[in-house]
Amino acid sequence: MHALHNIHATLAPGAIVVDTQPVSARPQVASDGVSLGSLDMRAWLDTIQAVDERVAETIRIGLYELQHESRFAVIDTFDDGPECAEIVDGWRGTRVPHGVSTRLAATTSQVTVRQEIRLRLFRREPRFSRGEASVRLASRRRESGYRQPDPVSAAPARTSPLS
Amino acid sequence: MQRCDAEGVEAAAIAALVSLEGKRVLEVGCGTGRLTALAAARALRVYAFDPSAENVAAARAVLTGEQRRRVRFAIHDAEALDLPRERFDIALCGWSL
Repeated sequence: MHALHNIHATLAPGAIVVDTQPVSARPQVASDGVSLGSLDMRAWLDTIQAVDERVAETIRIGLYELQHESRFAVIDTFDDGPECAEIVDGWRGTRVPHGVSTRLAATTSQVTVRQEIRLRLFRREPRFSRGEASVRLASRRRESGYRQPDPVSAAPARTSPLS
Repeated sequence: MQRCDAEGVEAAAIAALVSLEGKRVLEVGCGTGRLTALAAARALRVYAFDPSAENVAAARAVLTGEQRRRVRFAIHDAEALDLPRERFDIALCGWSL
């Protein structure tokens, strides 16, 4: 189950989910105002696309409603090129192209990475979707030991109007 | 040393759209605390969790003593989120969904 289902269960009706994600395919790397090239984050964007599909599903079944979407840029700063290369190499879905790696290794001054960020706000919908409500009802019944009545044995006994 | 968004652009963008003042905030995947201080400075209380104990320690370290009193940290992932007696007004998911 996606995290948004668990989060939904902890939120008050009308609560807001704030979601930020870096969405640059090729964030720019620079030092002293000079471009050193760009990182390759296309694999990361595949992850974002998969997340978006799961989020869209939660909207479709009525757990959330998209209220807002905007974008802005943030800049991460590193003391020098080798530090930048070492840290960025550990970012998920991120590849440092050979040319950039070479230039970073030779850069002793501060390095910046500029990333575009997507900001979205979702409003928690007040009601469960029909599907989730039935799942929750079934779960509560299991916990309480409730047993579904057999439709035949539960039917009232027929009696003859003459007896 | 790496400085993530030293100008605080992300925090400012969030604060411009959502008031955290007096709210009950759930921080999903708090990481090293990039947004924890934003929430702790404004919210009534914060529940911040992350699967990495190292990250949680770093997030705790960026808070002032006053902010720490409003934040409860936990080490787990979102799949293990189970707070049946609590309700939150805001869920902050910074790079974590």
